[in-house]
Amino acid sequence: MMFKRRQFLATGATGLLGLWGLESSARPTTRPIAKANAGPGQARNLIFILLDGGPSHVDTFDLKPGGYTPDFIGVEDLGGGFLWPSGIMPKLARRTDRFSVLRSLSAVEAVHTRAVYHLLTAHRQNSALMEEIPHFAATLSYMLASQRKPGAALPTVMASGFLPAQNGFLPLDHKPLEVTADGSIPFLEHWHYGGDERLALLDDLIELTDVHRDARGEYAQHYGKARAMMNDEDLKDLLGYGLEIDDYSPSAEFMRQCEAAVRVLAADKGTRVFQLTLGGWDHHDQIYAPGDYGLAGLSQAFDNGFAYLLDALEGQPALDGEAGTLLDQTLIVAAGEFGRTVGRLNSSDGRDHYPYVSPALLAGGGVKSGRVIGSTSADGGYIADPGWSRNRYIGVNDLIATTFSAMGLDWTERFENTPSGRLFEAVDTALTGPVYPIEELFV
Amino acid sequence: MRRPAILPLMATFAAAFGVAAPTGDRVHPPYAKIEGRASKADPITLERVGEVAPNSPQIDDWTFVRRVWLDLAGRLPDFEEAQAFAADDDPQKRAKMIDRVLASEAYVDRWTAFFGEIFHNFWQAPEALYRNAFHFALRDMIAANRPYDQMARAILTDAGKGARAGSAFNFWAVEGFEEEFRLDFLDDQVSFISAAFLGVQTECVSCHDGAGHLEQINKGLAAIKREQFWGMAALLAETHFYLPSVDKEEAFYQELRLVDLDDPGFEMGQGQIFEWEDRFTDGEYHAQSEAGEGMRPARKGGVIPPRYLFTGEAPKTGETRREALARMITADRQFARNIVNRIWRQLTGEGFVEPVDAWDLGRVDPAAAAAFDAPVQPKNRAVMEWLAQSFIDSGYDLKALMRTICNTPYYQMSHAGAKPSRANATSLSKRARRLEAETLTDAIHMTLGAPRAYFAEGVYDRAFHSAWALPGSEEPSGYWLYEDNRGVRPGQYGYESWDELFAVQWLTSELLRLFGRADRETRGARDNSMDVKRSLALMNNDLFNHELLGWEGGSPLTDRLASSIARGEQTVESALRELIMRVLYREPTAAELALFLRRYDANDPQLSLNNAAWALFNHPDFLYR
Repeated sequence: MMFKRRQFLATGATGLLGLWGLESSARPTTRPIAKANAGPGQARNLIFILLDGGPSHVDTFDLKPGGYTPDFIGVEDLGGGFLWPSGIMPKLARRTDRFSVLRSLSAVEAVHTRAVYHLLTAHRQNSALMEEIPHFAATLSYMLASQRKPGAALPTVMASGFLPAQNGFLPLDHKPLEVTADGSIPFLEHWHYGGDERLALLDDLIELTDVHRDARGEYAQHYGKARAMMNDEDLKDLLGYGLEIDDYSPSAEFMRQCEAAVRVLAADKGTRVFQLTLGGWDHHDQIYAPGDYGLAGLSQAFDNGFAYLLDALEGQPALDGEAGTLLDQTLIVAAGEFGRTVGRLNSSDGRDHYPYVSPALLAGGGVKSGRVIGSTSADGGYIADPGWSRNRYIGVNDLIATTFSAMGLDWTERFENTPSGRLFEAVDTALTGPVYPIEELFV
Repeated sequence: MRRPAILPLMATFAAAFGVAAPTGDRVHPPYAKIEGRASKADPITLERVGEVAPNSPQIDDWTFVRRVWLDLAGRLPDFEEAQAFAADDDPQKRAKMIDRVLASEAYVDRWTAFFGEIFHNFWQAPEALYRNAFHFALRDMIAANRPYDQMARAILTDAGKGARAGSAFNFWAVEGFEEEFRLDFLDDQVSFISAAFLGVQTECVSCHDGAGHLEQINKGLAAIKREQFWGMAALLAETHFYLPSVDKEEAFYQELRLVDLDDPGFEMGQGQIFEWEDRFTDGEYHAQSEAGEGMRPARKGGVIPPRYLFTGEAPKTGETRREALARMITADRQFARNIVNRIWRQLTGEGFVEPVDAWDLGRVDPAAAAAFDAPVQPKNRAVMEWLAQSFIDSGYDLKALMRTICNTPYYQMSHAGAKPSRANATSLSKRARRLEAETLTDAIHMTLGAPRAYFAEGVYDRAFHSAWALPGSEEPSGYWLYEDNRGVRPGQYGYESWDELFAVQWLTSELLRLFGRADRETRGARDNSMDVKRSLALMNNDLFNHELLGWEGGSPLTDRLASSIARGEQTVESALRELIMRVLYREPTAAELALFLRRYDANDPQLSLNNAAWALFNHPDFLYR
């Protein structure tokens, strides 16, 4: 059987369907079976910042000064529960009215890969199911598919950093498009000799290939999307193509990711979810050492980037003719995969993995800012006050459910007909019991 | 450290929301009893493997010769050889070709890399000393087709200098050098050994009993107690890193070795064992640690007697603990099943059990699975057991196993029309697979007649001409050549400058990573999927395009075809047909040939041929098998 692919080879971003909207060509493998809950839905977009490695909470978002606290942390009580490390996060110190802190969040995993997997999939890692479990953002993409506009040139999800899961059992269209640590897409241009002729030849050649219901068939889809991106001149600036880079510090790199996220979301070319990553927080040794990769260096990098996101999104008008700013439409979540041991430093002057307290920062997208939810014991070792209606600590899956809810999506959505035959829940409840969005953030 | 108050809360939640609690009233065997001996005459037919799409034909000779070289040797066959093969009318030619590939150098490189990946062989010491030693040890064993049980025993009982030729020291150093707490090292090593040699992930039971945690995940492991895991770790408790003399610091890495305190030949002499803590140097596994010591929960079990995890077997008199471990592992039928599964997956695209290290030993034997009221885990269990038995009967002969599989009708079945696989299907179906990163890189260069020379740290006497031959996933690298002022100089191996040499090493390394080569250090699995990013990279990267098919001119292949057209030795059509066949290993269709002819510009034959080659390298029939 021959299949006319011309329509999506040549039309680029102006095509009728939009290349990332070819849902119809993918075999539907999923069937939602429940429709019960949907949240406030003010957030149109999500920026999820993975603080890969696990920041020391007692030195940052849940500051617990002690004899160990160096002067440069700049402990400052800003009121309203914001005991803040103003020395290493000075910009956010002046913006505490624009974000909120979740201090009763607790992770369960204590190994990086497993903990990041949990945070990014809302499922505990189970090797037997890893092939089919999607990144939570891929599930968002699937659920947002009906909202895609014709001609949208970019996928719903773009992501930088460690991606332990992709589209899983969901159709290929929902696979996050990976961007580099600079927030860019490399190889967007065929600058080599013969460019136009050879691309035309390849387009024709691919059109002649048989349609395979296997990986080769998927290749034609990837190829079509790649070619459309190459054809869309706007994307080159948007995706930072050919960006002159002379500063490779984590701070500059993270800032480039933040800039890319704002550019891409503001351009409204189909992307709704952007994962950013600032890694290097695994400070087992010399946590207070100076330099780009110490706690101070990374905290400043985060401070710069997060403050930029707040300012830049606020500086953009809301999309779709709505009132307000792009910040009102964009939920920002920043979290590490776990916290770090509390009290005195370990024998290498560092802090080790500590899942039980793992705070997060949230802003935009309808979040009531300037608040601190929950509190921990004097040393930051355990959660003293959950600070929300459920009267238990807030779990990783509650946090992810909150992103669904904020975007007006049903976090209890379940899917049958998975490859394993097991029911797939958008946010897993099998191991934790029911999960709830953190409504206290929005009211 | 204070015990966090949230733990009880979690337990309450688990209870409130129906997480299975251990009942203790039904005791299941931890894993299947050894199967009865399968009949040797039992053939693996298409029907036995099952779920074959209707009308699945056997592949033609071109497809066969391409597939068998890609699967067994990680490279395309020489074009002329494939041509001769297709023309050959010997009815035994396929079986003969399988033997020919099994005897090739490329086979040795490909399967050395296969085992290097399973054993996470990566850079651990200056000049990659231990990685290289282990790499070449593995390579020698693969080249000699050393029986797999002997290979495993050599690795599991490796002792002596880490830097010596033939050393498997790095198998121990990859965990030992990373871990800061002796008991964690021993536990890690048991997890590593179980996953690599048995395909079972025992990490869960290194922190807690299986009961109450693993019922829904792994029936076999749910029946295992943490103490049983410690028993396996106790089989390693006599094993230590040892430095014979401490006064020669510069020779530290050269002198460091692995010893067994219970080896009658071992004498402490002037040396010292590399202890983490004094309390762990008496050769016993003291399950005694506090929370916060190392990364696992507190251990409270006292001295643990050495026992094999899955049977409770104890060492015999006269053997060291590690000898006992090696004996018990290689005698375990699961040892054969594991490698059969991994090799079957490599050759056919899908394992009997996937992921390959997620075996549930409670669901291998049908009776055991039935007792759990759970489905049997391996697809086509009978075929798997038959292969495992014939592998054991052959004396653990890896080549014989591969020969058996490649000679089956199932292996030689066409992929076209095969149903997409479902993880819960009870039988296997084939999948088209993208060429691995290494195969892809090699194939483009080799097809164009322009192999590259690659270099690896610490190997001063040779260049590598295949990405599969490199000793680690950190390679190729080049800077150390310059830094150490050793070995290669510009002007050799086709590199005119250091810049060019560095650029090619670096770009190759980046592309191998981008196309999903396994990262042995982070244990990132090989990823042969395709996506937009990779499609862009394939079309537009500098390495494939700049020199060979871009501004810098042509490749030996396209240059030859261009001059052959110019001299009237070949028509344009015959040159294009040859080019297509050299990349795709099949005849072009009439429509394809017409397309290439239409796009051919007689005013610029070289450009036209380069464009054609470039397009063909982006064709799914090149990228997949």
